[in-house]
Amino acid sequence: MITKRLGQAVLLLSCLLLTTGCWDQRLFKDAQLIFSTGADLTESGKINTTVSIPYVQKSEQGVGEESVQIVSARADTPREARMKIDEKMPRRLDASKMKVIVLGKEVAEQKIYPVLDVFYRNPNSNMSAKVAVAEDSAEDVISMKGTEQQKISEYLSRLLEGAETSSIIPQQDVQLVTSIMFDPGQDFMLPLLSSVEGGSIKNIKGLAIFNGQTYTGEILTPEEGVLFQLLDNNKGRRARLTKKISKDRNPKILNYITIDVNNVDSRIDIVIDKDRNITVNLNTDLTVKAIEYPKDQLNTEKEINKLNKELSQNLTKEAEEIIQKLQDVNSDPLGIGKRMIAFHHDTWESLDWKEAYPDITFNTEVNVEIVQRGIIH
Amino acid sequence: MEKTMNVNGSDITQQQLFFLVLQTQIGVGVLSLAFNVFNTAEQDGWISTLIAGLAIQVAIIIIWMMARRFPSSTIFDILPQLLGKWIGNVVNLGYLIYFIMTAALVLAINDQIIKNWVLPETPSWVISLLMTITGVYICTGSLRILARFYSFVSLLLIVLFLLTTYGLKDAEFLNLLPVGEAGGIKIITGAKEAMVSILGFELLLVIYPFVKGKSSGILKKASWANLLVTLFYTYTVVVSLAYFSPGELKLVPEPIIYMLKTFEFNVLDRVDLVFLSIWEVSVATSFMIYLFIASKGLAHFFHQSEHHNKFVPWLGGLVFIASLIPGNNELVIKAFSEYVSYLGLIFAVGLPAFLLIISYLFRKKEPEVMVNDN
Repeated sequence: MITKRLGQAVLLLSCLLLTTGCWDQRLFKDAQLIFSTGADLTESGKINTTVSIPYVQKSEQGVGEESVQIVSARADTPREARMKIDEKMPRRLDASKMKVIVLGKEVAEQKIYPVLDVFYRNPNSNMSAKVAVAEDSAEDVISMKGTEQQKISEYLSRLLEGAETSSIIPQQDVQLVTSIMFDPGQDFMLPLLSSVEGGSIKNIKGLAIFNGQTYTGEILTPEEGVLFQLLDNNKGRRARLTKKISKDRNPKILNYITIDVNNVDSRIDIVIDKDRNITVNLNTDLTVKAIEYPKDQLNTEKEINKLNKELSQNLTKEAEEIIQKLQDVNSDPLGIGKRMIAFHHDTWESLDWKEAYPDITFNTEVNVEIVQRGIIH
Repeated sequence: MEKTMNVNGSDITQQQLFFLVLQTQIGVGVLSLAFNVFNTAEQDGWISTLIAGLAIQVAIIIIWMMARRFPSSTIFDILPQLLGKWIGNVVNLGYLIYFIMTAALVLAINDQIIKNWVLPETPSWVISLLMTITGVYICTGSLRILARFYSFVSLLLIVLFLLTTYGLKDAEFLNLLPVGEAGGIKIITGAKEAMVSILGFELLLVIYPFVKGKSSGILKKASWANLLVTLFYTYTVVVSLAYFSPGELKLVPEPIIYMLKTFEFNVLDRVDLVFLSIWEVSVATSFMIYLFIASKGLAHFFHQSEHHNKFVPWLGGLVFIASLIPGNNELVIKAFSEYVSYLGLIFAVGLPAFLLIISYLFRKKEPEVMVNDN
């Protein structure tokens, strides 16, 4: 009886071996994974795709040394370029583990969807890859040497993740970017990687502001980026700002305070008057913790109130500048248009939003309240 | 009205009926429902889905009222009684063809999606054949076996629900506003689209006589199943609407899996594949039930109602071949699907209503004394 059962079990289990298909195997040994790619526009309007391919160099000691090979190809579309790169490689190029997509400045200044289409259309592509714009050419960024032990793809994705954590850039991936791209009521911004100098990227230069699918050429600095994420109610894990709160103290270091935002509550309220003038009230309340105040003496309520006021004014002014900058290039990353569609649909229908947006009035107000002072006062 | 009919242990409990209806209704449609309703009803697609569920509830009541008058007959027995032998059998043939075509359509759509998302290199016939073999194997058994299988796999729906819920993480509910903006006509058209995805309750036409217990219980269970399916479908539509911006949703025919593809867990990169493998079971259940009721119909034509299982392999072969006719042409499959959806509205909603009227007008119903013609 038991042997019969056992026999059946063995039979069934061996059937499992037959259930694997033969057609759709994607064996790791045949695939050449690429983790990052860059797209540039050549003068003749072709697409120049660059990929960095890691491989292990056998050394005499038998210990493999990791190295990368930079391959690029020019073609009419990114897919064709990828095919050309594939021809140069012994193994099949596989983009399903893509981590970072870098768009050259010129590509970004055209419409960016066409370059990204290949990612959306293929079921194997990784939709949580990050997208960034290079200040100059994407090829330079991809062919840059990473820091000591990190491959460029890893370096870039860590860099972007770090910026997300500190609220400089929004949490974003390829999918989220397209979602906004096709939204009539919102625009997006992408992290901008600063030019390569001496073979390595310095940092994230800020956020490239897009109008529709096109890079406007304007940027928000990292500082402004943080404040923008706060206005957008989109704080990352951490949001820190260093602000100047007076002018005349000596030494200069005493003029500054660094705050760490605990909580942010940002409200967008759209008011439309009889004459169809649109006013946006943007109120942002921040509760913060002072994490550095070189001047010291944060022990009286008066001092704190003074600081609150100073910081509020300071940030309000900066927020106004950000909004102005966005309106100047006709970019709506706060999604005011989305709210118009949702709450003032008739007005939205009667407007050409792209024309109306730069002229709407923003009443911006940032309120800061220091609630924690660290372990000293 | 207590029923006493029992055909060779093939009767099922009302609980099992619940799962049968549930699993038949949830099928290939769940993936593209949000896309379909959005294309017609825009951000009010979820209202369309609710209305579709309501319309289907009415259809269920109609079928139930009719079937109740013939508590021991399948639709194939009822039709000749109501319409006369000749016309009745012609309509019977229509039902048979409709069931076969639906089964073939399920296979074709399944093949298309699996090829697109998971196995691009695998030949279509392999994907369809695997499904056909499974279907034939289980359908040669009795209805009770089918029902037990359905009850068991219904647990998997919880996983589908949870995976969909994860999408709320990045949801933007502003996309759903303003409510009712699309307007009545668009919403109703959308409801028609949605109804096609929720079809499946017409299995009652055939399996009604096999369900034990009071007829009011049957209506109750079928309605609960419909309610659950409607809510589940509405939920998937709401999540999709909130996750994708309106412009993007127009481009994504299978929003739910597209959404899941974006998510990345530590140990799991392609959540869409997990969803698809579970969804595959729901497809299988839809396919099986159509194969099963078609075999009941075929058996009726050969006056062998008790031995439907003899016909299952032949039908399976037929459905398999029919499903390959559209090839890999997405547009042909779409046209096929539209055609079948019209048939669905006729055979699952229109005809039963017509038959109900006739049976009332001519006071036709089964004699109180059971005549078991088997």
